[in-house]
Amino acid sequence: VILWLVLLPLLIALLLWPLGRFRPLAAPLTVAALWGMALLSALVPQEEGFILLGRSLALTPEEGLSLAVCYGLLGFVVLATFRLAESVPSYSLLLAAAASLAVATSLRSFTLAVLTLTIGGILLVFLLPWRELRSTLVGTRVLFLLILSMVSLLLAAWVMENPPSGVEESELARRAGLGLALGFGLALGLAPLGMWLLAVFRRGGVLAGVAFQTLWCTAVLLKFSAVLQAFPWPEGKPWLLHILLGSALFSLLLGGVGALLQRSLWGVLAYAALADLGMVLLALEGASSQMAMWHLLWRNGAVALVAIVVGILDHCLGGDTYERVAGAGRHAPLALLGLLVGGLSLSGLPPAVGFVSRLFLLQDFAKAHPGWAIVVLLSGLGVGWAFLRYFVVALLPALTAPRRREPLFAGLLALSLSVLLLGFGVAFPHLLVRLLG
Amino acid sequence: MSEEMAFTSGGGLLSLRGTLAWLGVISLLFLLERRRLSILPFVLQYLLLALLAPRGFRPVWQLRLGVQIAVSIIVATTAFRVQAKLAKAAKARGVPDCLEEVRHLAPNARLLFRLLTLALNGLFAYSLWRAYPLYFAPAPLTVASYWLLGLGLCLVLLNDDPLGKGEGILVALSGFEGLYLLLEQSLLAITLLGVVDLLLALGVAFLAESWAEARARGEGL
Repeated sequence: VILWLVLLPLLIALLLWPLGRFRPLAAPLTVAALWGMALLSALVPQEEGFILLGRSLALTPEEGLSLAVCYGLLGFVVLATFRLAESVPSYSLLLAAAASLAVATSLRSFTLAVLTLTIGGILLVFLLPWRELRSTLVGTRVLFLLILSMVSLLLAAWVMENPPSGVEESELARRAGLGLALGFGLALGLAPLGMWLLAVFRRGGVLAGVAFQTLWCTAVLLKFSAVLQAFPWPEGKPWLLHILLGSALFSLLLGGVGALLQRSLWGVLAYAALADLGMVLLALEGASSQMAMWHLLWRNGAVALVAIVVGILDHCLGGDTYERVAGAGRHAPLALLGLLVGGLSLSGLPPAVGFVSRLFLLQDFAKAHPGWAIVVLLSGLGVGWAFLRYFVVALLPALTAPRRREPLFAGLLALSLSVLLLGFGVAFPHLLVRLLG
Repeated sequence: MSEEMAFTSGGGLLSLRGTLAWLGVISLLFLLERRRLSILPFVLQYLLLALLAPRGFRPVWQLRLGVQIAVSIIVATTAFRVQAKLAKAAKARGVPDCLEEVRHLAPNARLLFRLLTLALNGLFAYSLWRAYPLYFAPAPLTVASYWLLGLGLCLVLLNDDPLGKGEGILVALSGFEGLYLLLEQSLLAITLLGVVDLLLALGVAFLAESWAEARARGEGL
């Protein structure tokens, strides 16, 4: 099954190569491949593993589900945006990246996982819109940070796979631990380690932004969660881990404050996603990894939803700044509902699903680290206020006439994602509690 | 591997002095900023690493040389195309191409600054090797790797276009690989690292060409 998880997207990517420019055929095929991958990774996760070229590949149920949600969401995004984008993104490369990140998640060898992660990341860079000067500069920055992160992680992986024994080697392990913290921090674009995901969201467009924020971040966090337990931390792990935790806290704070200062919805979404990523990282250490992963799933859903909404608003109102968003309530009502639900979920406010998982995490934080709970609350308030402000502005009369009507199909897809995020939060909170518990 | 290896050639085909001279030439070629010559320093640095490979590692490193030549060709082709696009656009507008425009502002100061930076990098690499000789790597390979790592980072800092920065990333990566491949000898890992090299070169080419097209349209001027 794992083999099919890799072969299916690669085969369709090859098929798409000559069809790349023909959107009406390329997009549905891509969606079919992504949803096929979602099904494969959700339904048949294998604990035992599969040996390929002498290397073990296996997906735990947790990893399978996380990947399935990402592939499912990416399918949604492709379907919602393929008519909105001005230039055709390379769906073949998206599928190749998806395959590479699936391999990275399932590989048990950390060295090979780091290399396949990097390959996936580089392939995602090709999704950046190539017509804009600034996005090419962002792409170059992303490549540099990806390689820097790969170098740090490879050195740490070498120490992990060749455990040191002597006194001098414990110093080596300490340095490698530092590499691990730095590598994961850079790969996730945490503050102040790179923060490249902010720029990707602002300049990268819907598909690249969502692919990096959901699939890439999930693959990196899954690897981080696995490595956190396996690494031979010298003299306990605290001081090395504190680098990452400090970075996660800083990201939370910066995300909350940064979202408030933004004058475009892309900016708000980018900072909100950064803040939530910081919280997932804190949760991996301060709460249970299972709960952190559940929160990551809802975060991914909310990020994809708001990204689709911004794509729609951009398409029909000609921008996502305050001035442009005014009047969205009348001209793009479905998108506006999506903005409300996604914004509530990202800021952890009821009744959206992000509230339930955030509440569980807050309970855990309040017991063990009350300071963290306060930072999470403050950050959530900042993000919530930023989204609410946009929502209120969108209800005001339009300052300029809309460029186009709201695309019904994309709007309905945003609506269905909103219903899903609301449904879990309102109609089935007990189901969610059982899942989280 | 003995401690002695840290101060000898360890079976590599070049002495420390020869390596330093070779590295100096590579740095000077990068200093020239001639996009049409950009294949030369790339081929030279990859060739240098292949020559410095310890005896037991030579066959795999020679195979890797094939991938690295492909990387050099990709970079060189991109450099040609970028140059052509910018020159064509500049001719249409009747002004020098945007990069040349910047370079002509203070050519001597710019050249001197780059020369000093690269000389400092060489000094830094040599001192780093004296301070931290690696027990698992022969001396010339350690110096070359430190030098290329530093050179790559300098190129990333000194250039402001995706091609220049991308070349820097590739050079730094080849410096890292020079040492890392002595530690990691799994064929699968080496192959994947080759794939990373190739994809990175293609990524740089993609970004550099897109950048040149945007500049040719007049963006960012």
